Amino acid sequence: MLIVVVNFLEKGRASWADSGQYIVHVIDDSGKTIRSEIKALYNQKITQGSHSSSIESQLQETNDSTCAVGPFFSVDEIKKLMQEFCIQERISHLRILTMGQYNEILLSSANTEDLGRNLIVTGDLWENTEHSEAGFKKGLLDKIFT
Amino acid sequence: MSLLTPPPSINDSAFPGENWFFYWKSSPSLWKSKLSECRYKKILVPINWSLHSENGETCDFARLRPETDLSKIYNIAKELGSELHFLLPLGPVPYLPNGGIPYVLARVPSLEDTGCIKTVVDSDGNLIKLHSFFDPRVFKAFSSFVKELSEYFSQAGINSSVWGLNAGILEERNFKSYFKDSSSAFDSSFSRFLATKEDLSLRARESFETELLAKQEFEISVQELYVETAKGELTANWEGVARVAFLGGNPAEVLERTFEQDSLGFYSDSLFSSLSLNLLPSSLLMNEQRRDGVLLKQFNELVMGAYFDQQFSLGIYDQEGQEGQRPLQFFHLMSQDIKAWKSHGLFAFFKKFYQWGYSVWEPTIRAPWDENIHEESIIFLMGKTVTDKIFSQALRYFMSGKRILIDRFELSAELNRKLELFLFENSLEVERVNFHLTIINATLGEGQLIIVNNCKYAATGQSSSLKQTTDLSLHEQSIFWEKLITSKPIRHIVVEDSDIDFYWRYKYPGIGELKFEEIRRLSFYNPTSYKKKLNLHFPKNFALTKILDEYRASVEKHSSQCETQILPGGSVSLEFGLFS
Repeated sequence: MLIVVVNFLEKGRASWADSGQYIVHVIDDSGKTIRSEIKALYNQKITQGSHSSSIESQLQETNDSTCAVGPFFSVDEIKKLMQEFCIQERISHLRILTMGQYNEILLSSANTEDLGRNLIVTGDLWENTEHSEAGFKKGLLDKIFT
Repeated sequence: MSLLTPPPSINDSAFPGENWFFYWKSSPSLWKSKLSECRYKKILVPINWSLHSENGETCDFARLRPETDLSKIYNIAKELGSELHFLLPLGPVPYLPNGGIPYVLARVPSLEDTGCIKTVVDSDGNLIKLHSFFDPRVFKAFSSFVKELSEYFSQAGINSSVWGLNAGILEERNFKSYFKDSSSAFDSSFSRFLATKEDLSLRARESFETELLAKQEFEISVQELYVETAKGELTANWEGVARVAFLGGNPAEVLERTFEQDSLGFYSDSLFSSLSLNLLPSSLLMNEQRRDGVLLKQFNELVMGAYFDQQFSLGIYDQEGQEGQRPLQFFHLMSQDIKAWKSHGLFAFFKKFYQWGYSVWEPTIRAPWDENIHEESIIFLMGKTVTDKIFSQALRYFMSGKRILIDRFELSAELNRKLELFLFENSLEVERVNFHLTIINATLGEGQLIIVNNCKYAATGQSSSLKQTTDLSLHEQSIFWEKLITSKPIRHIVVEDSDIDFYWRYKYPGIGELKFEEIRRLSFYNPTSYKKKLNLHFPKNFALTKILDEYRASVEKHSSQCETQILPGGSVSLEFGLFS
């Protein structure tokens, strides 16, 4: 399985209410999304330095914008936060897009088919070696282009 | 990508749903045959700006291309006895490329608060990117377009109604217009706006909250500018602004819809919410697979007919001739501040006893006393939104034997004085009750005026008179509203603890039903993939008269109750006669 994270927290794009939000988009071997949702990090916990606590507790959804005000996260920080989640969920590949990349994809995609394909091939790819063989088999990218 | 020829669409692309006629999707030579097949009298014709003006400067109304001939549609409709309602977009629309603006003007994409480009998936799976209406070039071109449109209408003798179209979505049961934007075009025009308004500029710099308020004020000003421009040019045809909520049109749902992870239950909820917010829900963005079944049934039964006619009625006299079932709504909230109503615990109370039995009004657009609302209705006024006009209309409404509840908090000092004077001068029967809050209950014949006396809480700086109720548990809040409302009972059947979608409608009896005071219809829908069961008990003044439209459902009828079982995708309606 591959997880695509669209990072809403691109540096330089200062926004108050939305900081902490990102799209988690889990794609299975056949290229279908099995989970797609907008998540928000509980920044209070993050600022308290609880990176080591369970990722699920940090991925709680919140509609309370006051909770979402906090520091901005870099791609590396998001990657670190997602690592435990990927191991738990046996997700083999993590792909992280900045908002700029996501917007580029939206602009260049004419339809949903383009969008799905572009989401899978764009972005910074991180492999979880523990599950990469079991989860990914021949490789999703090969499957799409062959 | 499939190389096979796609199967022909079951639905007509020129009539994608709910009586919208996309004239650009069909040849003018076919317009007559298509319009003659239309089942409803009222036809909505959205005006396609980019079709009439490719470059944003010159316009074509049947001068060069026959497909731009709006007078032809008008004449055909006249001949067929149909009633045309043109919809003029006053912001981006999700069913046209670039949000409906001419290609040359599509330069600045509209952005969400998150910085994400506003993109919507249409019924064919195309990604529609919306563009900013805060770009001054767009406004300039829009002004000249409506001017030419007005001249064309007048020359061609088109006297059909024109409605401004405010397209949007439902987000947490609030209407959010596509007009809203966070792009660079918005930012730069906002900066220019601030530069001309020194006081606002100073206020905006105070804090983040004040900046947000200033942005909202600017956004409303620009939106009104578009409305006023269109209204000014099309005075003879102008009827008002129609707000349309597009189901599945939330840019945040793009990924879910791309990979078909969206749920029918969610759309049902949005549809019912739209009816409560007095919006016209639309399924135009849904694909055939999603639109079929329960959702299609819900649209046909709940939206098309009396509700649709009411949305495009030309005043109260136009509504009087309308037949069919109307939404059964007892509570009319005169403010769009959903958050405030929620904090009062009202929605929890509605959900428990009168699910979807409320209606939220935008006082500047329409008011419940101008419409044919149910006789047992209560109108809720929130102090801060009460103007002189609303105040006098509300009191007049009370004097005519209706029920009004006023939350006095933030009611102007002048109106507070008038209210006291009104109670005193008219020698009303006034009762003061202390129940969590001080409540004044004034009656005049059938009329009831409930005033929530908030002085005590206002003095302590509470943000709302009823905020005190938020200190109560959900159960206590419900009891508070139940006691308050049932001081004069509302005749209703409560559907208890149900996780089935249901909706109430009503109509006045026709010939053969005269022994009843009113006919009420309860429709159940099951959009889930699970079987649902429900026991319904009804009081003695309700008689179950009909079981209608059973589809994958069964109903067992007993003397004062019935057992309903609905399979996935099923639906059924129960009709009750109400007598004194």
